[in-house]
Amino acid sequence: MKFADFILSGAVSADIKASNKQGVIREMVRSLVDAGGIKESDYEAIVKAIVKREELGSTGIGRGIAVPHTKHESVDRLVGCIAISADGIDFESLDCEKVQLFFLLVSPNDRPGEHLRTLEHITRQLKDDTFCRFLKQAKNKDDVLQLLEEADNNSFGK
Amino acid sequence: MSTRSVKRTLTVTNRCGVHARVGMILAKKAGEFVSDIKLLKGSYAADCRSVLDLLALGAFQGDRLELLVSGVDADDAADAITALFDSGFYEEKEAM
Repeated sequence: MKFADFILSGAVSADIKASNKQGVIREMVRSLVDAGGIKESDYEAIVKAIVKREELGSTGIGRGIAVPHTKHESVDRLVGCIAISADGIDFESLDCEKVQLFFLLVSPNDRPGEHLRTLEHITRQLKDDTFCRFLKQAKNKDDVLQLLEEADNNSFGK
Repeated sequence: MSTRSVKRTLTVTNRCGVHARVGMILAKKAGEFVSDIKLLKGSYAADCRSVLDLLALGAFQGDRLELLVSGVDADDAADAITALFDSGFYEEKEAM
């Protein structure tokens, strides 16, 4: 698997405007709409589903990383976006640390395997400290895209 | 109390595997013990207190994982982690 398989290049941000958890989710789902990954008419339902999922337990998985996600019938393949906050945002993470790296995923219904493989891919890459640090320091969208491409080309250690 | 080491093989029985919520449940449970708790899939090892590590395992339904626990409360910790796997992480109506 590669980041290019599920991260929409038009839904990449190195400069989150939102300052709270719900705001980040709204901003990221909006970027998926703008990139053509989901329909405008599904925007509110997908935001609501992701917020509801967060209520079961934060997807802030520690080390400044969060993977907010939901299933939704409107997508026929897993689509994702990435957003970065230089200062970090309180996402109620297990380790109580602010989150700087957000990977938001919307999966088709009834394909848990695809979702799990994607989480495995993201987290294995982020276990590489260099990749993780560079992503957190990315200044613009092009920096992020270049880092994702380098990861896809196995430029970082496993 | 003396240090104990426990080794078991666990099977992922829940349909969605070790996803984010399951990772959180495991990490929280592991945090209740002082023992070192690791889960291995093949040669890939995860610290059971790290959700990031647990997701990186890529543990799917049917996968067999090795549980390695070492410490003064290793038996209790191994029982608690085993019980979670046996329960299927109460997945029935929950989201990924």
